[in-house]
Formats: sequence, structure tokens, C-alpha cells
Amino acid sequence: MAGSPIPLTAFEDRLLAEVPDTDLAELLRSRGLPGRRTETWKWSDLRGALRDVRERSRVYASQAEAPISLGGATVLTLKNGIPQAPHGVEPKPVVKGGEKVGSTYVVEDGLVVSFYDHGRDAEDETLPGEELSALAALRPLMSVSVLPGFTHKIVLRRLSDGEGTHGDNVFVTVGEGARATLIETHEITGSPFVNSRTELELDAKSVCERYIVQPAAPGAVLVHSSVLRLDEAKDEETVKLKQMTLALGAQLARHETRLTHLGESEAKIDALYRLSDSLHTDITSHITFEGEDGVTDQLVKGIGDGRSRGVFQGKFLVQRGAQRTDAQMAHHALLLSKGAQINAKPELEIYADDVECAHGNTAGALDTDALFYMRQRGVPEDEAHSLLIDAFGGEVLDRVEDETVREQLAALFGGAA
Amino acid sequence: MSETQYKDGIDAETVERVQELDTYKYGFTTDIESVKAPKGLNEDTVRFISAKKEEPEWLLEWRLEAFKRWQQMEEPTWANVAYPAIDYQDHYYYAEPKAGAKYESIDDVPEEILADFKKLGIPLREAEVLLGVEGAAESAAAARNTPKVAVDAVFDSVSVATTFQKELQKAGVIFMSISEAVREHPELVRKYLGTVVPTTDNYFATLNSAVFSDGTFVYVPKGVRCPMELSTYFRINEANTGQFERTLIVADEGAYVSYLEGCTAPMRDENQLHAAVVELVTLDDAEIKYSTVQNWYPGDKDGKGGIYNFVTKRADCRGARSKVSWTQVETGSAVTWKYPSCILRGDDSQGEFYSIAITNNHQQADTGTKMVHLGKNTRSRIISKGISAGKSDQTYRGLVSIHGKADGARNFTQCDSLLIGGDCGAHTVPYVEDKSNSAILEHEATTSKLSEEQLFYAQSRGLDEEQAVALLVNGFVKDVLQELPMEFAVEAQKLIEVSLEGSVG
Repeated sequence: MAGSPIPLTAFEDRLLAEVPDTDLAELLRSRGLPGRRTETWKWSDLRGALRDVRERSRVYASQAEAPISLGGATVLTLKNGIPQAPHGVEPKPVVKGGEKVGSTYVVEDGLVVSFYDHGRDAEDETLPGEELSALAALRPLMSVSVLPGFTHKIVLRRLSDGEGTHGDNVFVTVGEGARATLIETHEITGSPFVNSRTELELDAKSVCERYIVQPAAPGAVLVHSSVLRLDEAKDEETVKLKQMTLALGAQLARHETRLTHLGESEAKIDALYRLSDSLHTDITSHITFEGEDGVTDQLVKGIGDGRSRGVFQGKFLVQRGAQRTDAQMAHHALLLSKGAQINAKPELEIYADDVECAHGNTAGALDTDALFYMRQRGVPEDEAHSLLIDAFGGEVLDRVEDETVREQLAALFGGAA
Repeated sequence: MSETQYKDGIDAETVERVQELDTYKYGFTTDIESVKAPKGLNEDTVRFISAKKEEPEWLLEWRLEAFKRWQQMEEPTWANVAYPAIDYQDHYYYAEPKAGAKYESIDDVPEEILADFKKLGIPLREAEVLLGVEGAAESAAAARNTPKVAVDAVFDSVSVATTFQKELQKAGVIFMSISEAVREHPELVRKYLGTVVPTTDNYFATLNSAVFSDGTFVYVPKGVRCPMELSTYFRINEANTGQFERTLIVADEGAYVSYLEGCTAPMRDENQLHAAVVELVTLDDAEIKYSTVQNWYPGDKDGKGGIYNFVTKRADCRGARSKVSWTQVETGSAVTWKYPSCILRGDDSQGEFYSIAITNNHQQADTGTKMVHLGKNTRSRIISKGISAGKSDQTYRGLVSIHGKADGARNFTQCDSLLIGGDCGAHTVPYVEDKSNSAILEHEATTSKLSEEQLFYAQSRGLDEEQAVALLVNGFVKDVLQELPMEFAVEAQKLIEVSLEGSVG
């Protein structure tokens, strides 16, 4: 794209001072952070939300109660982006070229967690639109390997506070034939800017349930990029991923998922958002079908109240030769108040002819006929409202297989009214 | 296609006609001397065009201002189309057949031009049986029932003839080229020109505002239902010449008009530019039905040549209960960039967009619509059917925007894409912006290929593969074909067949 470099904001100036001189820095220097003038961020003005200088976040000093608590789960914690060493496990050094580059912990049988001093190589190429993910990837890496036989749920808590800025960089692999349940939370107090990243790789024959839970954080700016890779089928067993995001808004919150189907594999990329006051949530997904027989089934639903703004951007890219792709996308939104708004862009880009791809998108108010019926049957108006809203959100929650998780998510969803 | 496939009872003319449809049949050129503006684009070009058309000072100023702005603008790159950079200095911006722009009577129109339009199926002599588009005569019954169609014929940069003007005048309908309208009804033109698509709108609309040559002006007065269909036929003949038509249609309170538009161009190896602006205005209770069959030369099977079709079409439904319906069949052009839109300003106003777009070989099309709901209880409906074949790429791009005050607004959108073959692409990029809690918006899109069972069935009943494909495609686009005026629907069905020529097997 043509055009001369734009004047940078104070925030960007400070940010760039800390970014190594690579094409990532060049991208940021020429265009600034993505914002309303960036096609893929037009409804989430990150640049506008981050004009002023922010210091690096200080040591985490708040007390937070976990939004999800699961008995017997293994809990891993990051505080203001810094991974916390697991209790009672001795670290072993990770050595590369004779130099210690990190520490590794065998937390339990089948679960290995490693902390590295550095993130990815800054020289790696950055694609436009992936600047935030690339920035987070520069942070020290926390790597989690799940091996076959490991049966506990893993809760990855990201605790943030203050008004500074920090990022984190987590890499999870689910090994061949392994099964994992991963619950990631964003627990934010105060008004920091958090740039978070999860890379998730599912090896052949593995199965993963992943939940991303973000309680409301009215002052915070959050970008969470997820990069997912599903391996091809092996011995006629396909990789399966079920992901569900429950997002309850922030000053600006973007949950972005990039998924690549290398071949035959199945994914559910669901999300549910509920917003009040002037909260914002952006659910963006970019799903690429590189090989044949990829299946994605996506259901996203959202509710906007007050003066909130909900954004859904979904994209299916079916590459040439990715025959027999089956990709279904649906986004449905409810607007409860006059000031709320919903923006949606469900996109298909298709280069293969033997595919089944569809998307549906609706937006509207609560069904007045149903409300009328319930009131006629003696249900008070408030109750009738909540019943309809619960039923609306319930469609996404019902797709959560684990009962304990589903109940807790439903409670969080209900509590967001 | 062999002759044996035609059964008894089908007349020779039909057989001949269907055979003709095998290739792009409008690719001929007409040898006629023309007067052109010097090649290139600068302020003098703008002055030249304005002087040629004997325009008033205000219009020249309007053009110059647009030109000034255009020089500071950048060509948009967001559309999903790729073409080599256009050298805007390598085009002629004005070409008129020698011996004057507008002819006093039809008898003065050079025979070559009359013959050209006749070849295109647009007879300009009123005495002849008047049919909007060739092809309608295939059915005798249809010919009997076909209403008269008034035609404005635009050849390169000038309108060469407008038929039935007198009869229309009796009803109070003004139907003439925009150049004439500027002279004869300056107050009307000035009141509405640029109020729907301002000179600042976008790169191609701004360029058009600076150098627009000819187009049609229609004004239907209060309460008048236009007694016949109006039609404009656009023809690019000269090489290296851009066509920049400007059409303005105003339907006053309670008026109704149905307008048809057709376009063709010769086959040339170089690309030619067509940047049009169409503005529609409907006041209270008025309705405009605007139908297009766009068949500009698409380039050859290797992607050489063809028209760049960069068009801004927009309707302003200003009045309460007014309605605009866009129907388009897009089969031509090498590159298409076109989004006929509706601004639904009046309460209870309605916008409709029905589209069939077919791309084959190396064609690229990025087309769709915008429905902007401002008024209360405004309704819009979008039905888009895209068919990609060969190595072509097609994108549906649409916006449905519901503003905060558009209580009770409704939209229904359906876009279906069909891929024929593994080397093409079909894309859907809808934007939905909803700020009203009482609006209802529905959108669905599907992408699929032709069903093998259906193809097999059609072939087992004796159709060859290409006929079977054409039959299924016609079924796929049926919802839109139904919206076309009858004469156009017949033409469109044939066009679909031709456009998909060579896409199977």
C-alpha cells in the first residue's frame, strides 16, 4: 500500500524504542499500530485507545479470585506477563550452545513446562495484520508440552494489573495421541494494556478442548492472539480441536484466532460475548484450509447492551486444492439497547470448487412475540428477558462437553447482566 | 453445437441466433471518422470537453474542481482485483463521430452508426419494430406483447440519437442525453447533479466528474408513470478511448420509471477504461427500476484486452415510501469494480439489489452493493448470485448499515457462489453495521459447485455437458432473472450460456 509514514503517537514512539530493528519495526514505523484506518481493525481502534506513553507494568500486586475453579486441575500462572515457577518442582537448566537459555519443569507425569529467557527470533518475517502477535512473540517464551497419558485439566491464569503495558508468549503442544483440556483466563484489574499470545500445536491423533475466559475489565486494553496448527490425520484418526471463548468486554478487547488446517482435521471455533455499558469486544478469526478435508464449524453469538460495541470478523480461506473442505460459520447478535452496536464481517475466500462453505449472520432485538407469550403466561418482564437471553447464549454453551466447565461458564455469562 | 439438435418447429432465425452466440459477437468495430480530444488528461482536456458540449460556466467550474481534487487522490487498492497500472495520459477522453455531436434528425445520423446499432439489435428508426434488446423477438408472443422502448444511444463520448422523445414529452417525461439536458433544463440538472455521488466521492467518480462525456438524463414529473421503458445503449468504438458516461434519473413524487442499460465494445488487445457515474433520486412515493445487462468486451481467453469497468452507481431514496430496485447481469469486462447502492433516507423507503455476475477465463469482478438505512422502517433486500469459471476471480462485497434512527429497519441478504472448475475463485465480503436495537438483519451465503447428480441427470436426458451446465446455472440464478424486464431476461439467459462457453470439459 502506498502512502507516506504517519506521525507516530507517544505510545508508539516508546514502543518502537524497545523493538529490535527488523521488518516488524519497519511495519510499525510506517503505519503505526492498527486502528480504525486499518481494514482488519476498523471497528477496534487500538491505535486510538493507546495514544499516551505507558511504562512497563510493575510487579503484580493485586489479589484476584479465579473466575473458574476446577478441582484437581493443574494451575499455571503468569503475573503481568511473567511466568511463575510451579510450586515444589525443581527446575532443570535448558542449555543451548553451552549457554543456559531457560529452565524446565516436569510438573507432573506427562506435563512439561519450560521458561525461556527470550522469545522468538526477531529476524522472523512479520506479515501485515500480525504485528501484535509478532510483538508478543518477542516476549520470553513459556512452553507447555502435554504428552499422552496426562489427564488433568490445565488452567493457565493470566493475571494483570496497574496501568502500564506488558505482553506474554505461551506455546502449547499437545503431543501425538495426547488429550488436553486447556482453560486460559484473562484476569485484569486496573487499566493496563496487555498483549498476549498463545501458539497451540496439535500433533497427529491429538484432541484438545480449549476455553478462553475473559471477565469484564472496563479500564483495560487487551489483545489476545491465538495461532493454532492442526496436524493432518494419521492412521485414519483426525486431530480435533474444540475452542470456545467467553468474552465479557474491556475498554477494548480483541480475541483473534488464526487457525490452519494442514489436511483432514476438525475444529470448532466458538465464541460468546456479552457486553454492557461502554464495553467493547472483538472476536476475529482467520481460518485457512491448506489441505484437503478440513472441517470447521463456528458458532459465535453476542449480546450488546448499554452503549457497548460488539465486533465479529470471521474469515475462511480455502486454498487452491483444498478439496472437500467443509466450513460453516454463523454469527448471531442481539441488541438490547438503543446505544449499543454490532459490526460483523463474515468473509469467505474460496479457491477450490469441491467445497461446502456457508455463513450466516443475523442481528436483531429480542423476539417480541416470545416476550409477549411469556408475559401472557404470567412470567414477569425481567424474567422473560433473562430467559430469552439465557436461551440465546445457551446455544453456544450447550456445545461445551465438560459439564463442570459448562456450568461455570454459564454462571459467568449469567452474571454479566 | 450441431444442427441436429434443433427440432422441428423452431424457426431458422432462432437457430442462427443461438449459433451466433458462440463467441463475443459484439466485437466488431465500425469505421467512422471521429474527432477526438488530444490524448492525455489535463485541465485543457476538461475545458475541451466542456467547450465541445457548449456547457455553462458553472458546469465547467464544477468539472475543474473535480479535476483538481482527482489529481490529489490515489487509485483505490482495496478491491480484490489486480491489473497493471493505468496510464491515464495514454487515453483519449473524448471521441465523437465527425460531423457533429447530436444530429438534428435521425436521417442525419451517419449510416455506419445506424448500421452499427442495428447490428447490436438497437434499431434507432422509430418506424422499425422497436425492441430494447435483440433476442426478444425469438418468441412471437413476446414480440407482440413487448411494449415500446425509448432508446438513447451513446457512441463513444456522444449521444447520437434518442428515440420517442416527442411521445414522452406528451407525458411530461424528459428523456434526453445529459449534454442536451444541461442546455435545455439547466435548473433541473444543476439541482440534482452530484447530489447523490458528490465530486469528492471516490477516485473514479471524481475522474468521471471532471471528464464525463455523455449519458442519459431522465426526469419523470409528479404522479407520472412513464408510458414506456427507457433504455440507454452504450457503445465504445474508438481505440484507446475511455468512456465516462454520466446518467441522472429523477423520479418526482409518485412517479415511476423502468430504465434499461446495455453496453458492448469491440474486441481489442489493449484494455479500455469505462468509468461511469449513475445517480438516481426518488422523492416521496416514487419508484425507479434500473436494469443493466453489462456485456463489455471481457478480453480473450488468455486475458488479453477487455474493458476496465469502474463504475459508481448510487440511488438516494429521499422521499418517504420511495423505492429503487437495481438488477444487474454482469457478464462482460476484464475487470469490474461496481457497487450499485441505495441510501434509504426517506421513512419506509425500500432498496433492492438483484445481481448475477459471471466471470470466465481471466475476468475479475469485485461487485456488490451498499444499503444504508437512515430512515425509519426502511427495508432492503440483496440477492447476489456469482458464478466463477475458468481462471476468473469474483468477489461479492457489500455493506448493510443501520443507523441509530432507523427504527424497525429490515435487511435480508443472500449471496450464493458457484464455482465451475478448480482454477477460479469465489469470495464473499459482507460488512454489517447495526446501531438500532429494533432492526432485523439476516444474511446468508453459500459456496458450492454444480451438483454431479443433477448434471448426470440432465445429460442422461440428452443434453450435452455444456447445455446441462447452462441449464443448472440458469436455475441457480432464477431468482434474479425473474426481476429483469422480459426482453432483458431472454437476452440474459443466452448471455449466461455464452459467458460459460468453454468452461467445462
